[in-house]
Amino acid sequence: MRKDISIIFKSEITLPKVVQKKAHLAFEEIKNKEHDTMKNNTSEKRTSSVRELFKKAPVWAAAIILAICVLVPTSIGLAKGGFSLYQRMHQTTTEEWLDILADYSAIPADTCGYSRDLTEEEATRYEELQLAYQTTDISPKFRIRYVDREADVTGEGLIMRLDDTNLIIQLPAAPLSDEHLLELIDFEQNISYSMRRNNMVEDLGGTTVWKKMEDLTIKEIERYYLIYYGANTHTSGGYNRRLSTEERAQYDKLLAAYEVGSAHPQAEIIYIDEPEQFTGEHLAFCLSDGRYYLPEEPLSDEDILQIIDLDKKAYYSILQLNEQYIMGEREHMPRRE
Amino acid sequence: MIPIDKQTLIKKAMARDTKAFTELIQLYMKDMYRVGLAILMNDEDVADAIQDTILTCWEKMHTLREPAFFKTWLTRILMNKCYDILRKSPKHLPLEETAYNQPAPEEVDNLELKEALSTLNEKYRIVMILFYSEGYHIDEIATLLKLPKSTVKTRLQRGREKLATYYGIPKRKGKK
Repeated sequence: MRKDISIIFKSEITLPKVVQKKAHLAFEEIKNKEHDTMKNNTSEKRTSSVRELFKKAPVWAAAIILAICVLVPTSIGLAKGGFSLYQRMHQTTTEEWLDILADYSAIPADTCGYSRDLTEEEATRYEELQLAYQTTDISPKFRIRYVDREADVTGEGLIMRLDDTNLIIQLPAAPLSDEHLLELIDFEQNISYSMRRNNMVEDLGGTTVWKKMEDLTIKEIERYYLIYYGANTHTSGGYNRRLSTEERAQYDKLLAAYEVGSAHPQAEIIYIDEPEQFTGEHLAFCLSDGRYYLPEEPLSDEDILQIIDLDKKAYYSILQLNEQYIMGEREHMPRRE
Repeated sequence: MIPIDKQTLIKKAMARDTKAFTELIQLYMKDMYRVGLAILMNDEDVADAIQDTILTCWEKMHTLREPAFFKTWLTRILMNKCYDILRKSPKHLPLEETAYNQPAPEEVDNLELKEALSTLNEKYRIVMILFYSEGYHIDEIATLLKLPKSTVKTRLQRGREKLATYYGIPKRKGKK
Protein backbone atom coordinates (compact mmCIF):
# COMPACT_ATOMS: atom_id res chain seq x y z
CA MET A 1 0.00 0.00 0.00
CA ARG A 2 2.71 2.43 1.04
CA LYS A 3 4.52 1.61 -2.17
CA ASP A 4 1.47 2.47 -4.29
CA ILE A 5 0.88 5.73 -2.51
CA SER A 6 4.54 6.58 -2.71
CA ILE A 7 4.37 6.24 -6.46
CA ILE A 8 1.50 8.69 -6.68
CA PHE A 9 3.07 11.21 -4.34
CA LYS A 10 6.53 10.93 -5.81
CA SER A 11 5.37 11.05 -9.40
CA GLU A 12 7.16 13.53 -11.62
CA ILE A 13 5.39 16.86 -11.83
CA THR A 14 5.68 19.88 -14.08
CA LEU A 15 5.69 23.33 -12.61
CA PRO A 16 2.69 25.22 -13.97
CA LYS A 17 3.57 28.29 -16.00
CA VAL A 18 1.87 30.58 -13.52
CA VAL A 19 4.15 29.27 -10.76
CA GLN A 20 7.26 29.73 -12.89
CA LYS A 21 6.15 33.23 -13.83
CA LYS A 22 5.54 34.33 -10.23
CA ALA A 23 8.84 32.84 -9.10
CA HIS A 24 10.61 34.69 -11.89
CA LEU A 25 8.95 37.93 -10.78
CA ALA A 26 10.19 37.33 -7.25
CA PHE A 27 13.76 36.74 -8.44
CA GLU A 28 13.62 39.91 -10.54
CA GLU A 29 12.33 41.89 -7.58
CA ILE A 30 15.18 40.58 -5.44
CA LYS A 31 17.78 41.50 -8.05
CA ASN A 32 16.36 45.01 -8.36
CA LYS A 33 16.10 45.44 -4.59
CA GLU A 34 19.67 44.32 -4.16
CA HIS A 35 20.85 46.77 -6.77
CA ASP A 36 18.95 49.54 -4.98
CA THR A 37 20.45 48.48 -1.66
CA MET A 38 23.93 48.77 -3.12
CA LYS A 39 23.12 52.25 -4.28
CA ASN A 40 21.60 53.23 -0.95
CA ASN A 41 24.54 51.86 0.98
CA THR A 42 26.71 54.39 -0.65
CA SER A 43 24.22 57.18 -1.07
CA GLU A 44 23.87 58.53 2.43
CA LYS A 45 27.48 58.73 3.35
CA ARG A 46 28.90 62.04 2.28
CA THR A 47 28.49 64.53 -0.52
CA SER A 48 25.79 64.91 -3.09
CA SER A 49 28.24 63.71 -5.74
CA VAL A 50 28.61 60.53 -3.73
CA ARG A 51 24.91 59.94 -4.14
CA GLU A 52 25.51 59.51 -7.83
CA LEU A 53 28.11 56.79 -7.41
CA PHE A 54 25.93 53.85 -8.28
CA LYS A 55 23.32 55.68 -10.22
CA LYS A 56 24.68 54.70 -13.57
CA ALA A 57 27.07 52.07 -12.49
CA PRO A 58 26.49 48.92 -14.48
CA VAL A 59 30.17 48.09 -14.57
CA TRP A 60 30.79 48.56 -10.91
CA ALA A 61 27.46 47.13 -9.91
CA ALA A 62 28.51 43.96 -11.71
CA ALA A 63 31.83 44.04 -9.95
CA ILE A 64 30.10 44.40 -6.62
CA ILE A 65 27.89 41.44 -7.35
CA LEU A 66 31.01 39.52 -8.27
CA ALA A 67 32.62 40.66 -5.08
CA ILE A 68 29.70 39.49 -3.01
CA CYS A 69 30.02 36.11 -4.68
CA VAL A 70 33.71 35.88 -3.89
CA LEU A 71 33.05 36.68 -0.28
CA VAL A 72 31.90 33.12 0.18
CA PRO A 73 34.64 30.54 0.44
CA THR A 74 34.80 28.58 -2.77
CA SER A 75 35.72 25.58 -0.68
CA ILE A 76 33.24 24.98 2.11
CA GLY A 77 35.75 23.10 4.22
CA LEU A 78 36.20 24.32 7.73
CA ALA A 79 39.50 26.02 8.47
CA LYS A 80 41.27 23.29 10.39
CA GLY A 81 43.65 25.07 12.73
CA GLY A 82 44.43 27.37 9.83
CA PHE A 83 43.24 30.63 8.47
CA SER A 84 39.67 31.48 7.54
CA LEU A 85 38.12 34.37 5.71
CA TYR A 86 36.28 35.15 8.94
CA GLN A 87 39.58 35.66 10.76
CA ARG A 88 40.83 37.88 7.95
CA MET A 89 37.76 40.10 7.91
CA HIS A 90 37.64 40.34 11.69
CA GLN A 91 41.15 41.78 11.85
CA THR A 92 39.51 45.02 10.79
CA THR A 93 37.19 46.78 13.22
CA THR A 94 33.62 47.73 12.42
CA GLU A 95 34.53 51.41 12.43
CA GLU A 96 37.30 50.75 9.95
CA TRP A 97 34.88 48.85 7.72
CA LEU A 98 32.42 51.69 7.80
CA ASP A 99 35.23 54.11 7.01
CA ILE A 100 36.32 52.01 4.04
CA LEU A 101 32.79 52.18 2.69
CA ALA A 102 32.52 55.92 3.35
CA ASP A 103 35.89 56.66 1.73
CA TYR A 104 35.02 54.63 -1.28
CA SER A 105 31.60 56.23 -1.51
CA ALA A 106 33.17 59.68 -1.44
CA ILE A 107 34.79 59.19 -4.84
CA PRO A 108 32.51 61.02 -7.26
CA ALA A 109 32.22 58.35 -9.94
CA ASP A 110 29.32 57.00 -11.94
CA THR A 111 30.89 53.71 -12.85
CA CYS A 112 33.88 51.67 -11.83
CA GLY A 113 35.73 48.97 -13.69
CA TYR A 114 39.05 47.75 -14.97
CA SER A 115 40.95 49.56 -17.71
CA ARG A 116 40.98 46.29 -19.67
CA ASP A 117 39.47 42.81 -19.44
CA LEU A 118 41.38 40.07 -17.67
CA THR A 119 42.90 37.51 -20.03
CA GLU A 120 41.83 33.90 -19.69
CA GLU A 121 45.07 33.04 -17.89
CA GLU A 122 44.66 35.98 -15.54
CA ALA A 123 41.06 35.02 -14.79
CA THR A 124 42.12 31.45 -13.97
CA ARG A 125 44.90 32.65 -11.72
CA TYR A 126 42.49 35.11 -10.12
CA GLU A 127 40.26 32.22 -9.05
CA GLU A 128 43.20 30.26 -7.64
CA LEU A 129 44.41 33.24 -5.66
CA GLN A 130 40.89 34.01 -4.52
CA LEU A 131 40.69 30.59 -2.89
CA ALA A 132 44.12 31.11 -1.33
CA TYR A 133 43.00 34.52 -0.07
CA GLN A 134 40.00 32.93 1.62
CA THR A 135 41.83 30.06 3.26
CA THR A 136 45.35 31.30 3.99
CA ASP A 137 46.87 34.53 5.24
CA ILE A 138 48.21 35.45 1.81
CA SER A 139 47.81 39.19 1.22
CA PRO A 140 48.94 41.77 -1.30
CA LYS A 141 51.88 43.94 -0.34
CA PHE A 142 50.00 47.04 -1.44
CA ARG A 143 46.42 48.17 -1.57
CA ILE A 144 44.84 49.78 -4.59
CA ARG A 145 45.04 53.53 -4.11
CA TYR A 146 42.76 56.23 -5.40
CA VAL A 147 44.82 58.91 -7.10
CA ASP A 148 43.18 62.12 -8.25
CA ARG A 149 46.23 63.95 -9.64
CA GLU A 150 48.84 62.84 -12.15
CA ALA A 151 51.56 63.98 -9.77
CA ASP A 152 50.39 61.44 -7.18
CA VAL A 153 50.90 58.46 -9.47
CA THR A 154 54.02 57.15 -7.80
CA GLY A 155 55.29 53.96 -6.19
CA GLU A 156 54.12 50.41 -6.61
CA GLY A 157 50.71 48.81 -6.52
CA LEU A 158 47.67 49.33 -8.68
CA ILE A 159 45.89 52.64 -8.71
CA MET A 160 42.43 53.79 -9.62
CA ARG A 161 41.69 57.14 -11.17
CA LEU A 162 38.73 59.08 -12.31
CA ASP A 163 38.37 59.21 -16.05
CA ASP A 164 35.64 61.76 -16.60
CA THR A 165 33.01 60.25 -14.29
CA ASN A 166 34.29 56.70 -14.48
CA LEU A 167 36.46 55.20 -11.78
CA ILE A 168 39.04 53.05 -13.52
CA ILE A 169 41.38 50.55 -11.92
CA GLN A 170 44.45 50.86 -14.12
CA LEU A 171 45.79 47.48 -15.18
CA PRO A 172 49.19 47.25 -16.86
CA ALA A 173 49.28 45.95 -20.43
CA ALA A 174 51.70 43.20 -19.38
CA PRO A 175 50.24 40.05 -17.77
CA LEU A 176 49.11 40.76 -14.21
CA SER A 177 51.38 39.47 -11.48
CA ASP A 178 50.05 37.60 -8.44
CA GLU A 179 50.55 40.80 -6.48
CA HIS A 180 48.31 42.71 -8.88
CA LEU A 181 45.62 40.04 -8.77
CA LEU A 182 45.75 39.92 -5.00
CA GLU A 183 45.30 43.67 -4.88
CA LEU A 184 42.16 43.33 -7.02
CA ILE A 185 40.84 40.48 -4.87
CA ASP A 186 41.57 42.38 -1.67
CA PHE A 187 39.90 45.52 -2.98
CA GLU A 188 36.72 43.81 -4.12
CA GLN A 189 36.56 41.74 -0.97
CA ASN A 190 36.90 44.80 1.22
CA ILE A 191 34.28 46.83 -0.59
CA SER A 192 31.73 44.05 -0.56
CA TYR A 193 32.41 43.15 3.05
CA SER A 194 32.21 46.76 4.20
CA MET A 195 28.78 46.93 2.57
CA ARG A 196 27.68 43.76 4.28
CA ARG A 197 28.99 44.90 7.63
CA ASN A 198 27.12 48.17 7.16
CA ASN A 199 23.91 46.22 6.49
CA MET A 200 24.37 44.13 9.60
CA VAL A 201 24.99 47.19 11.75
CA GLU A 202 21.86 48.85 10.40
CA ASP A 203 19.79 45.69 10.82
CA LEU A 204 20.76 45.49 14.46
CA GLY A 205 19.76 49.08 15.12
CA GLY A 206 22.87 51.19 14.53
CA THR A 207 26.48 51.55 15.53
CA THR A 208 25.82 52.18 19.23
CA VAL A 209 24.08 48.84 19.72
CA TRP A 210 26.56 47.07 17.48
CA LYS A 211 29.54 48.38 19.42
CA LYS A 212 27.92 47.36 22.67
CA MET A 213 27.36 43.85 21.34
CA GLU A 214 30.93 43.58 20.15
CA ASP A 215 31.94 43.17 23.78
CA LEU A 216 30.24 39.76 23.80
CA THR A 217 32.64 36.84 23.63
CA ILE A 218 31.96 33.96 21.28
CA LYS A 219 30.94 31.83 24.29
CA GLU A 220 28.37 34.44 25.27
CA ILE A 221 27.17 34.68 21.68
CA GLU A 222 26.65 30.92 21.58
CA ARG A 223 24.90 31.07 24.93
CA TYR A 224 22.40 33.68 23.73
CA TYR A 225 21.83 31.76 20.54
CA LEU A 226 21.02 28.61 22.50
CA ILE A 227 18.81 30.44 24.96
CA TYR A 228 16.76 32.10 22.24
CA TYR A 229 16.78 29.58 19.43
CA GLY A 230 17.76 26.36 21.17
CA ALA A 231 14.15 25.27 21.53
CA ASN A 232 13.89 25.08 17.74
CA THR A 233 10.18 25.76 17.81
CA HIS A 234 9.74 28.35 15.05
CA THR A 235 8.22 30.61 17.67
CA SER A 236 11.33 31.97 19.35
CA GLY A 237 10.79 35.44 20.71
CA GLY A 238 7.00 35.19 20.76
CA TYR A 239 4.86 36.33 23.68
CA ASN A 240 2.32 34.41 25.74
CA ARG A 241 -0.07 37.35 25.47
CA ARG A 242 -0.50 40.37 23.24
CA LEU A 243 1.16 43.63 24.23
CA SER A 244 -1.36 46.33 25.08
CA THR A 245 -1.37 49.51 23.00
CA GLU A 246 0.36 51.33 25.84
CA GLU A 247 3.00 48.62 26.16
CA ARG A 248 3.61 48.66 22.42
CA ALA A 249 4.04 52.45 22.46
CA GLN A 250 6.40 52.24 25.41
CA TYR A 251 8.30 49.44 23.69
CA ASP A 252 8.90 51.65 20.62
CA LYS A 253 10.01 54.53 22.80
CA LEU A 254 12.41 52.42 24.83
CA LEU A 255 13.73 50.69 21.72
CA ALA A 256 14.72 54.05 20.27
CA ALA A 257 16.42 54.97 23.57
CA TYR A 258 18.18 51.60 23.75
CA GLU A 259 19.50 51.98 20.22
CA VAL A 260 21.14 55.31 20.99
CA GLY A 261 22.55 53.98 24.25
CA SER A 262 20.44 56.04 26.62
CA ALA A 263 18.45 53.14 28.10
CA HIS A 264 19.44 49.66 29.13
CA PRO A 265 18.10 47.09 31.58
CA GLN A 266 19.45 46.85 35.09
CA ALA A 267 19.39 43.06 35.08
CA GLU A 268 19.10 40.13 32.71
CA ILE A 269 15.72 38.56 32.18
CA ILE A 270 14.73 35.58 34.33
CA TYR A 271 14.91 32.23 32.54
CA ILE A 272 12.57 29.34 33.23
CA ASP A 273 12.91 25.82 31.86
CA GLU A 274 9.23 25.06 31.27
CA PRO A 275 6.06 27.17 30.90
CA GLU A 276 4.67 25.55 34.07
CA GLN A 277 7.32 27.39 36.09
CA PHE A 278 5.86 30.76 35.12
CA THR A 279 4.15 32.25 38.14
CA GLY A 280 2.37 35.04 36.31
CA GLU A 281 4.02 37.66 38.50
CA HIS A 282 7.35 38.36 36.79
CA LEU A 283 8.54 38.50 33.23
CA ALA A 284 10.41 35.36 32.16
CA PHE A 285 11.86 33.74 29.07
CA CYS A 286 11.12 30.04 28.71
CA LEU A 287 13.94 27.88 27.37
CA SER A 288 11.79 24.95 26.27
CA ASP A 289 9.59 26.93 23.89
CA GLY A 290 11.68 30.07 23.30
CA ARG A 291 8.84 32.38 24.33
CA TYR A 292 8.49 35.35 26.60
CA TYR A 293 6.02 34.92 29.44
CA LEU A 294 4.61 38.29 30.36
CA PRO A 295 3.01 39.09 33.72
CA GLU A 296 -0.66 39.93 33.70
CA GLU A 297 0.18 43.36 35.11
CA PRO A 298 1.39 45.95 32.56
CA LEU A 299 5.07 45.58 31.73
CA SER A 300 7.44 47.93 33.52
CA ASP A 301 10.16 49.82 31.63
CA GLU A 302 12.69 47.39 33.07
CA ASP A 303 10.66 44.44 31.71
CA ILE A 304 10.52 45.98 28.25
CA LEU A 305 14.22 46.78 28.27
CA GLN A 306 15.01 43.21 29.27
CA ILE A 307 12.99 41.98 26.29
CA ILE A 308 14.69 44.42 23.92
CA ASP A 309 18.11 43.49 25.28
CA LEU A 310 17.60 39.77 24.80
CA ASP A 311 16.08 40.26 21.32
CA LYS A 312 19.11 42.31 20.28
CA LYS A 313 21.62 39.91 21.76
CA ALA A 314 19.90 36.97 20.07
CA TYR A 315 19.83 38.79 16.75
CA TYR A 316 23.48 39.77 17.07
CA SER A 317 24.35 36.18 17.93
CA ILE A 318 22.70 34.84 14.82
CA LEU A 319 24.41 37.44 12.63
CA GLN A 320 27.79 36.55 14.11
CA LEU A 321 27.33 32.80 14.01
CA ASN A 322 26.10 32.97 10.43
CA GLU A 323 29.19 35.02 9.56
CA GLN A 324 31.33 32.26 11.00
CA TYR A 325 29.40 29.65 9.06
CA ILE A 326 29.52 31.53 5.77
CA MET A 327 33.23 32.24 6.07
CA GLY A 328 34.36 28.73 6.92
CA GLU A 329 34.94 29.28 10.63
CA ARG A 330 32.22 26.93 11.86
CA GLU A 331 30.46 23.90 10.45
CA HIS A 332 27.07 24.24 12.12
CA MET A 333 25.18 26.24 14.68
CA PRO A 334 25.54 25.48 18.40
CA ARG A 335 23.14 22.79 19.56
CA ARG A 336 21.70 21.98 22.93
CA GLU A 337 23.05 18.78 24.39
CA MET B 1 23.68 16.04 5.99
CA ILE B 2 22.79 18.23 3.05
CA PRO B 3 24.92 17.68 -0.07
CA ILE B 4 27.98 19.88 -0.43
CA ASP B 5 26.73 21.74 -3.49
CA LYS B 6 23.53 22.72 -1.70
CA GLN B 7 25.52 23.74 1.34
CA THR B 8 27.67 26.01 -0.81
CA LEU B 9 24.60 27.56 -2.36
CA ILE B 10 23.11 28.14 1.08
CA LYS B 11 26.29 29.84 2.27
CA LYS B 12 26.43 32.00 -0.81
CA ALA B 13 22.76 32.89 -0.51
CA MET B 14 23.29 33.81 3.13
CA ALA B 15 26.07 36.10 1.95
CA ARG B 16 23.48 37.77 -0.31
CA ASP B 17 24.53 36.24 -3.59
CA THR B 18 21.35 36.63 -5.66
CA LYS B 19 22.48 34.15 -8.29
CA ALA B 20 23.16 31.44 -5.74
CA PHE B 21 19.86 32.17 -4.01
CA THR B 22 17.97 31.80 -7.28
CA GLU B 23 19.76 28.54 -8.00
CA LEU B 24 19.05 27.28 -4.50
CA ILE B 25 15.34 28.05 -4.65
CA GLN B 26 15.07 26.46 -8.09
CA LEU B 27 16.22 23.21 -6.50
CA TYR B 28 13.20 23.29 -4.20
CA MET B 29 10.56 24.65 -6.57
CA LYS B 30 8.83 21.33 -7.12
CA ASP B 31 8.86 20.58 -3.40
CA MET B 32 7.35 23.97 -2.76
CA TYR B 33 4.71 23.44 -5.41
CA ARG B 34 3.64 20.10 -3.94
CA VAL B 35 3.33 21.52 -0.43
CA GLY B 36 1.52 24.61 -1.66
CA LEU B 37 -0.85 22.51 -3.72
CA ALA B 38 -1.64 20.28 -0.74
CA ILE B 39 -2.83 23.31 1.20
CA LEU B 40 -4.35 25.55 -1.46
CA MET B 41 -5.34 23.20 -4.33
CA ASN B 42 -5.17 26.07 -6.76
CA ASP B 43 -2.19 26.85 -9.00
CA GLU B 44 -2.76 30.61 -8.98
CA ASP B 45 -2.78 30.74 -5.20
CA VAL B 46 0.19 28.40 -4.94
CA ALA B 47 2.09 30.68 -7.32
CA ASP B 48 1.29 33.68 -5.09
CA ALA B 49 2.38 31.80 -1.99
CA ILE B 50 5.64 30.73 -3.62
CA GLN B 51 6.33 34.26 -4.83
CA ASP B 52 5.86 35.62 -1.31
CA THR B 53 7.92 32.80 0.15
CA ILE B 54 10.86 33.53 -2.13
CA LEU B 55 10.82 37.21 -1.17
CA THR B 56 10.56 36.46 2.54
CA CYS B 57 13.33 33.88 2.37
CA TRP B 58 15.62 36.37 0.72
CA GLU B 59 14.87 38.98 3.35
CA LYS B 60 15.44 36.55 6.20
CA MET B 61 18.24 34.50 4.67
CA HIS B 62 20.96 36.06 6.80
CA THR B 63 19.04 35.16 9.92
CA LEU B 64 18.58 31.52 8.99
CA ARG B 65 18.84 29.79 12.33
CA GLU B 66 20.27 26.52 11.19
CA PRO B 67 21.57 26.27 7.62
CA ALA B 68 21.42 22.48 7.79
CA PHE B 69 17.63 22.73 8.06
CA PHE B 70 17.13 25.10 5.16
CA LYS B 71 14.43 23.00 3.53
CA THR B 72 12.41 22.77 6.72
CA TRP B 73 12.74 26.52 7.19
CA LEU B 74 11.63 27.17 3.62
CA THR B 75 8.69 24.78 3.98
CA ARG B 76 7.60 26.47 7.21
CA ILE B 77 7.61 29.89 5.55
CA LEU B 78 5.70 28.55 2.57
CA MET B 79 3.08 26.92 4.77
CA ASN B 80 2.57 30.17 6.67
CA LYS B 81 2.10 32.01 3.38
CA CYS B 82 -0.40 29.40 2.23
CA TYR B 83 -2.40 29.63 5.45
CA ASP B 84 -2.34 33.44 5.16
CA ILE B 85 -3.91 33.11 1.73
CA LEU B 86 -6.49 30.67 3.03
CA ARG B 87 -7.38 33.03 5.85
CA LYS B 88 -7.60 36.14 3.70
CA SER B 89 -9.32 34.77 0.65
CA PRO B 90 -13.10 34.45 0.83
CA LYS B 91 -13.14 32.55 -2.42
CA HIS B 92 -11.89 29.38 -0.77
CA LEU B 93 -14.52 26.76 -0.28
CA PRO B 94 -14.61 24.59 2.78
CA LEU B 95 -11.77 22.15 2.43
CA GLU B 96 -13.96 19.13 1.89
CA GLU B 97 -15.52 20.82 -1.13
CA THR B 98 -12.25 21.88 -2.68
CA ALA B 99 -11.67 20.60 -6.15
CA TYR B 100 -8.50 20.92 -8.15
CA ASN B 101 -8.27 23.09 -11.24
CA GLN B 102 -8.08 21.49 -14.61
CA PRO B 103 -4.42 21.56 -15.59
CA ALA B 104 -3.12 23.12 -18.77
CA PRO B 105 -2.29 20.54 -21.45
CA GLU B 106 1.43 20.84 -20.75
CA GLU B 107 0.85 20.05 -17.09
CA VAL B 108 -0.74 16.63 -17.46
CA ASP B 109 2.16 15.26 -15.43
CA ASN B 110 0.47 16.75 -12.38
CA LEU B 111 -2.87 15.07 -12.98
CA GLU B 112 -2.24 11.98 -10.92
CA LEU B 113 -1.04 13.92 -7.91
CA LYS B 114 -3.89 16.41 -8.13
CA GLU B 115 -6.43 13.66 -8.43
CA ALA B 116 -5.05 11.91 -5.35
CA LEU B 117 -5.02 15.16 -3.39
CA SER B 118 -8.57 16.00 -4.41
CA THR B 119 -9.83 12.90 -2.64
CA LEU B 120 -8.52 14.17 0.70
CA ASN B 121 -9.22 17.21 2.77
CA GLU B 122 -6.43 19.61 3.70
CA LYS B 123 -5.48 18.16 7.04
CA TYR B 124 -4.74 14.80 5.41
CA ARG B 125 -3.26 16.24 2.21
CA ILE B 126 -0.51 18.22 3.90
CA VAL B 127 0.54 15.31 6.10
CA MET B 128 0.58 12.91 3.13
CA ILE B 129 2.61 15.29 0.97
CA LEU B 130 5.13 16.02 3.71
CA PHE B 131 5.53 12.33 4.45
CA TYR B 132 5.42 10.71 1.03
CA SER B 133 6.57 13.42 -1.36
CA GLU B 134 8.96 15.39 0.82
CA GLY B 135 10.28 12.56 2.93
CA TYR B 136 9.85 14.21 6.32
CA HIS B 137 9.76 11.99 9.37
CA ILE B 138 6.71 11.97 11.63
CA ASP B 139 8.62 13.96 14.28
CA GLU B 140 9.50 16.63 11.76
CA ILE B 141 5.94 16.84 10.45
CA ALA B 142 4.67 17.17 14.00
CA THR B 143 7.05 20.10 14.56
CA LEU B 144 6.22 21.72 11.23
CA LEU B 145 2.47 21.48 11.78
CA LYS B 146 2.66 22.05 15.54
CA LEU B 147 0.70 18.84 16.10
CA PRO B 148 1.25 15.93 18.46
CA LYS B 149 3.01 12.99 16.82
CA SER B 150 -0.01 10.80 17.49
CA THR B 151 -2.20 13.16 15.46
CA VAL B 152 0.23 13.06 12.56
CA LYS B 153 0.21 9.26 12.66
CA THR B 154 -3.57 9.16 12.75
CA ARG B 155 -3.86 11.54 9.83
CA LEU B 156 -1.40 9.52 7.81
CA GLN B 157 -3.38 6.37 8.52
CA ARG B 158 -6.70 8.01 7.62
CA GLY B 159 -5.18 9.54 4.50
CA ARG B 160 -3.94 6.15 3.39
CA GLU B 161 -7.33 4.59 4.07
CA LYS B 162 -9.18 7.25 2.11
CA LEU B 163 -6.87 6.84 -0.85
CA ALA B 164 -7.15 3.06 -0.63
CA THR B 165 -10.92 3.34 -0.77
CA TYR B 166 -10.75 5.74 -3.71
CA TYR B 167 -8.38 3.57 -5.70
CA GLY B 168 -10.05 0.33 -4.64
CA ILE B 169 -6.92 -1.00 -3.00
CA PRO B 170 -7.74 -3.79 -0.56
CA LYS B 171 -7.01 -3.04 3.08
CA ARG B 172 -3.99 -4.74 4.54
CA LYS B 173 -4.64 -7.10 7.34
CA GLY B 174 -2.69 -7.22 10.58
CA LYS B 175 -0.10 -4.59 11.26
CA LYS B 176 -1.13 -1.04 10.43
